[in-house]
Amino acid sequence: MTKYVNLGNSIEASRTDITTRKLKKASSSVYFEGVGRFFKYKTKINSNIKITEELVPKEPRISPQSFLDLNDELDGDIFEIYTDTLIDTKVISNFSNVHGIQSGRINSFTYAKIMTPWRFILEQRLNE
Amino acid sequence: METKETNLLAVPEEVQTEGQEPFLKIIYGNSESTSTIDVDTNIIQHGLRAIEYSKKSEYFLLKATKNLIRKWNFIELNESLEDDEITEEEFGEILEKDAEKYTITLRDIESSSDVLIIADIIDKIGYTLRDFTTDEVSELFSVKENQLVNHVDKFRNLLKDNDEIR
Repeated sequence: MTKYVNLGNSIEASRTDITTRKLKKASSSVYFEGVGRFFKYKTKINSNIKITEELVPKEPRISPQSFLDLNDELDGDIFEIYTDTLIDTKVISNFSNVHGIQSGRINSFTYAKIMTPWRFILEQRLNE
Repeated sequence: METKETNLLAVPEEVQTEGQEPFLKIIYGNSESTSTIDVDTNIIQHGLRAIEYSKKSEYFLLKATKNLIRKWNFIELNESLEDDEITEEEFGEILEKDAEKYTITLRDIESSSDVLIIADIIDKIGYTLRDFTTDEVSELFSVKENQLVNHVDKFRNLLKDNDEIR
C-alpha cells in the first residue's frame, strides 16, 4: 500500500483504477515472447493508477521489479500501460472548461510504468 | 550449382609461431606445380565479424520497417473500431487471426552487441538513443524493454569505470 513516484517504477495487477488528464488511444498491439499479447497505451499528463486486485499467483509477468501489493499506486506525469483488453474511460470532471479528467477501471491484467515523473521529483533526482 | 572436376588440391593449415601472430597457410597446386599463400587470421576474423555485423544490421533494419507497418495497420484498425465500422468482437477476431499483420513481438536480446548495432542504426538515421524513449526503441526493433535498459546501464557503467581509471 505504497505510492511510487520515481522514473521506471512499475506495477502489475489483475485489476486497476486509473485517473489521468489524458489517456491516448491504444498505439499498438504488442506480444511479449513467452508472456502474451497486450494493448499499449500512454497517458499524457497528471496520472495515477492503483491496484484494486492483486495478481493470482502474485508473480510479475513483464518486469521482475514491478510492485504487486493491493492499493500500491503510481503517481506521475506520463505512464506507459499494457493491458489485456481495451481501456474504456469516462470524463469525470471538467471544472476548468478546458481539461477534463479521464477515469476508468481496468478489469484485466495491467502493467504500468512511470515514463516521466513529476517535474519536482525529476529535478530532485537530477540534483542528487 | 554446377561442380567442375579439377586436379587442383588446396591444403589449409593454421600456423602458430612463437612471437608472431597466427596465420593460415594454404598450399595449393597440382601434379606440375605448387604455391603457398600466407593469410593473416586476424583479417579472416575481422571479415567474419564484418559479415556478422552486416547480417544483424540488415535483420534489425527489416524488423524496424516491418514493425512500423504493423503499427500503422493497428492504428488504422483501431480507428475503424472507434468510427463504429467494426465491433469490438470483430476487432479482437481480426487481431487474433492476423497477428503477423498487426502485432509487434518483443524478443529476448541475444547479446550486448545487438544493442550496439541498434544504437549504430539510430545514429545512421540521424538520431541518438537519447532522442527516443526506451519503449519506442524496444517496439521499433522487437526487443524487450527491460533487457534493453539493463544493457544500456551496463554500457554506461563501463564507460563511467573507464573514465574513473583515466
